Amino acid sequence: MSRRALSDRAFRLAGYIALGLCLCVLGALLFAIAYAGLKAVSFDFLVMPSKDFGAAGGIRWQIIGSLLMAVTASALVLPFATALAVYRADMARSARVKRFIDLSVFSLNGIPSIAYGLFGLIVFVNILGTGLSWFVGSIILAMMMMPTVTHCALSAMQSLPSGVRENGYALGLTRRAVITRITLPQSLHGIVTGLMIGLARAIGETAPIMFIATAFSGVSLPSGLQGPVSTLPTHILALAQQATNPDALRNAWGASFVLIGLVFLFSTAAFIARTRLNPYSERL
Amino acid sequence: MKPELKLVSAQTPPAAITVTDFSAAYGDVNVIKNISLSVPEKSVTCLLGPSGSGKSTLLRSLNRINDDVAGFTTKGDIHIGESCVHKGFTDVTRLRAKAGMVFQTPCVFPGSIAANVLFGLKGRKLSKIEKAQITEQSLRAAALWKDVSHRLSAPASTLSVGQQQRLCIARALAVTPDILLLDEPTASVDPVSAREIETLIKTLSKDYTIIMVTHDVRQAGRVADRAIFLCDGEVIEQGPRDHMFSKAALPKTRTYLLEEFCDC
Ligand SMILES: Nc1ncnc2c1ncn2[C@@H]1O[C@H](COP(=O)(O)OP(=O)(O)OP(=O)(O)O)[C@@H](O)[C@H]1O
Ligand SMILES: [Mg+2]
Repeated sequence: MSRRALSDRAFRLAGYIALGLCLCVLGALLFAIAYAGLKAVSFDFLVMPSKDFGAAGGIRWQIIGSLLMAVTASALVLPFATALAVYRADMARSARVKRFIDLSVFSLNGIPSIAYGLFGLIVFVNILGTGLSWFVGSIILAMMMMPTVTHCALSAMQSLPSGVRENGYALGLTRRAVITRITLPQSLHGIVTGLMIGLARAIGETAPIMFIATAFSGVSLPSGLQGPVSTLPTHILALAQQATNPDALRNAWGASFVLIGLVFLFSTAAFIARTRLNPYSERL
Repeated sequence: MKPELKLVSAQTPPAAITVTDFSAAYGDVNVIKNISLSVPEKSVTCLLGPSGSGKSTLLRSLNRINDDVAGFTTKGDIHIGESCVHKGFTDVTRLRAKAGMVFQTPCVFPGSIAANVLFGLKGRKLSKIEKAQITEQSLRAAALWKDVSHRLSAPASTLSVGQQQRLCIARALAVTPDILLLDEPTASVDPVSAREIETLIKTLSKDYTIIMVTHDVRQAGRVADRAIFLCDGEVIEQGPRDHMFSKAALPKTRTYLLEEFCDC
């Protein structure tokens, strides 16, 4: 066998091994959580409020709390991230400004989530005196999602066929019209994908909202912007700490299963959005 | 008005575009060097010249689409009719609607054929009937109506490349320009479609002032009423086609037109 064919084979093999490992990890995780979690999950589990600090009852308010924060965070991040991406793609002219935006987005992405949590605690709760507030938690989550959404939106905008904008300008469209009729609709898939990936990550976060937005148990819907909610991740954390109580552990697995289901839902939505909403996807 | 001027305008049609002492640069690199030229109304003027001679740059200065290129600067005047391109049009979008542009590679927008034709009009309030009329007129003018009248709502991306280029022309016509700027409009289409587009350009020149960049000297011979020979940012010679393609032309022009070679 020639050297070329040999190295070709070696790379192929390495690829298969890597893929296999990846699938093993995913499979093991899903199996463990499904195996332990499905024992707890039932219709009642999904719709009943929890009792006994979570050891009994369901996770109604935790699901609602998680979704409320995630949806609010998305609504908050969407205009900012889109505006930043549009500015970077269609308006910023100086190379230095562009580099600065890229660098900021990348650094923001690298900040550990606990740092966001501390930032929220110090700035909002201590300095601004908001007290525990789910809305402040959503703001923090929105800040965490910002780099992901911006990056995905920007990539989509930058990968539009060269010339689409120029063709728009040549027809006499204003810059605003080019942005609203060409850039935004044609990169919608990137914006939605970014939002869904961001959501999938944000909904599983504990650290950034632990100090500022959530309570471990005994809360239902907040009456305004203030007041905590209960979320799935914090609920799981609280349950998992009651290591001697088998009911609490079982429900922790159950809640994890539901959480993973939600993440999976958002990831799938991201996957679908990426191709379905892309006007050029069939042509690529 | 002075009598001499009248005499001149009696001989040649009035100039739709006049370029006076015009220079253009990307950063420090001067690519158009103090040129002057005029383009008569309702005719085809071909811009000829070797690669890099500044043909596209000149064309893209006429509708100021190069304004968006970082570092692009110009000196001198371009007049379209009576108005100066730079000072006369405070709203550059009006200039661009008046001088439609079609590029080398056809670029259709996602969406239907009809939507593409109407793309430049989306800001205006039009009734369904008006929209249908504009669509039909523009497609007929671009010699595409017969090919697509039965599938106006099909995606524009399903058209052949040659048809897409004619759709781009129809799209430019829909915003009712006076001038068409064509930058190598047949460069990316097959020879048969190229001939169709040439015929179309010839027909359109009855109603529009057309400036067309082309590399194909024989194409210029077929469609041009006038030709401008540009080399290294300077106008070597300009004049009616028959003059440019005859022995009376400057030696440099003749060499380029015969051998597509230029030593400037
Ligand atoms: N955006 C730009 N930035 C810097 N220089 C440019 C830019 N566009 C064109 N140039 C330079 O300007 C000169 C003229 O370019 P132009 O595109 O006008 O030539 P052309 O005559 O259209 O050539 P071709 O026939 O190959 O299309 C070239 O030397 C080119 O490298
Ligand atoms: Mg060119």
